[in-house]
Amino acid sequence: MPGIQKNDFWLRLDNAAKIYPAIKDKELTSVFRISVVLKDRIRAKAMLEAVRDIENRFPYYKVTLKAGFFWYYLEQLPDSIPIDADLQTPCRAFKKGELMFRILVKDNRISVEFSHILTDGTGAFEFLKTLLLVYFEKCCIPLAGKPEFYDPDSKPSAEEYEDAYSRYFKKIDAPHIKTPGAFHVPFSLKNKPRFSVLTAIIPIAELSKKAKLLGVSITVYLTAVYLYTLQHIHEYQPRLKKNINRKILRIEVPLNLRKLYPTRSMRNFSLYVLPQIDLRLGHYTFEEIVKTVYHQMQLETDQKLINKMISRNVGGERNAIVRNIPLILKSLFLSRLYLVGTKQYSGVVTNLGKIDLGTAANQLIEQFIFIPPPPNKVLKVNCGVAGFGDNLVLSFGNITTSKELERHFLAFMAHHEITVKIINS
Amino acid sequence: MKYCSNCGVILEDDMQTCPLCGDTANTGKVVPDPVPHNGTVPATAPAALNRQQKKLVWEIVFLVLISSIMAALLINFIVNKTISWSEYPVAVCLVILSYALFFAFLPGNNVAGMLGGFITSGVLLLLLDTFTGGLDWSFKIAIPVLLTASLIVAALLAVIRLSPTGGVNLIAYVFIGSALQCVAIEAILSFYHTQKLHLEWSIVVCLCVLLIAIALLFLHFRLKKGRSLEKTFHR
Repeated sequence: MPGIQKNDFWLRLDNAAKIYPAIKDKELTSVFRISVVLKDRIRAKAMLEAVRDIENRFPYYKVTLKAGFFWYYLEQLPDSIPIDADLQTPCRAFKKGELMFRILVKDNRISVEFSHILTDGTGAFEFLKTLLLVYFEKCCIPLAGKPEFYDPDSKPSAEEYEDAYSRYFKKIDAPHIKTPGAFHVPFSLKNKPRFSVLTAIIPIAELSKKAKLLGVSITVYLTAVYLYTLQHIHEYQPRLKKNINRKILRIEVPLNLRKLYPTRSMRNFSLYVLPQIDLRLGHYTFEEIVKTVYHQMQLETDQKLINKMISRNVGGERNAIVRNIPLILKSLFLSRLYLVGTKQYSGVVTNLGKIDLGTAANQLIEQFIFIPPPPNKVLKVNCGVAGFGDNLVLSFGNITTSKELERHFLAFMAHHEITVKIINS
Repeated sequence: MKYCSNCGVILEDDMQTCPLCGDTANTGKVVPDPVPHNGTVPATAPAALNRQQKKLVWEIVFLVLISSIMAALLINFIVNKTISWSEYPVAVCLVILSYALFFAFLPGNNVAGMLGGFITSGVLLLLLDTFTGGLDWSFKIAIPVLLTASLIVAALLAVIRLSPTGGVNLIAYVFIGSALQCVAIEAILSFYHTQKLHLEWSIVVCLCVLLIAIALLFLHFRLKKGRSLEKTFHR
């Protein structure tokens, strides 16, 4: 295991995580949340016992961020995992020297918040799933047909620690094609603390019916709605702004690479596709957007193109000049890189997928909520999606004074006979 | 069934307070029963000297220093028929005597110890200077040097007390304090001789000592004992 030492446990940051320490601050926290809402209130004693049982099963998360001379790294913390009462703003930043994930509890809701430096949505979800199933055991609830989960008594495998980007890196010498900048919503920023979340519940059956009519998946359908909403916002700008602002609308849709490249890595292992529409070509109908998004996503999820993306990212990290630049200079470069990257897309739709924990466990759960990390000042709004049971939960993270994007997005759904219910998350 | 009115979780019947938010702070944090680290028992502090033992130590120190003072004065007087060079060892012994007195009998109160030691030493130095040729060096050199030394030592004691871990970082702090004292000594001496502040050798000392201090601090905070260098310097 490169970068892991038993007697002095530390880990290199994975390829995707390397950028986050350079850009994170009190507002742009790089922290996301996954919550599970149960049908019954949480039992304090069982919760404490469950956390105590699983806390040593995930050693790669019981770490804190440290600065080395050339790169940041993760160093083990011996502290027990604390459980907080969930009373504050979601996705708050972690303080220097503390664990980079937290467990929060309120009424019948358990939440985990992870820094993207540690893992992506899949890793965080696996942790929450293990916590939840062990919690049910502690509550003496028998669960027949429960899904595969991490046995608290088992030892973590070496593969769980791995940087899978490095594992699947193959040097490819295809040149990178520069992507032109995209349109960004013109809303003014809120005063600090800026981040707020709007959560809506949509029946999966109704949404699925609409998506099936167009022959696409739910993710494609939601991405198309997002682009349609952005088009509406772009078109209703004042004439001058409309002419000045960029006319390409592009959405970042993260991909879980574990589906393409087998690994049990519990760290970041995702990339993205960037479906787009170009308003210089004229107005798009919703059906046209669905069609173009569907085909772009089909093309961009091609493994050869993903290989190229991995090659570019890991190749950059392995570049001799980059490796030998001291961290302080590298951080300046990385934060600039992040800003340039964010300018390429107008919004993010992260779909955690449909969650299934087996019939018995599912009956104890009301819903899952996924809140993406606070967007930066360029992006301003993003969207997280999690499906469970009969419902899909959409969470819009927003740092502006306007809820126009959310309003148009959800109004579009409602106009298309999809029931939308706003909930207090 | 009992509920927590703050975080809303169900409590066991025997729980008097919510283990998640407690009864002292509503936003409090709870940590599951901490795992004992290596099963170690907290180390007990070394036993402090009792008053009787301190008195004995003080008497020995007092006798040694007074004997040294008497010996130095006597030898100087017999050899040179006057008091000249012995002023220096006598002054040093008087300063040590003053501080030893206060630190022996005012344990744990560093401020009072430093203040008492400084005032007593100052008075003794003034008396020594008066009885050996009139007031000159004591208030122009000795007492200002003593004052800067006392302030630097007080600052060092505060820094050492505030340091969560002791190691080579403490040596670095002492080095930095010494460098500052060198600057103070040269400044006081140059002012005494030329009525101007002129620094030369102390700046060189400062630069050398600061480099060593930085290296020691780096060793302490980045390369703790037994840790690999690879994690700090991995590329």
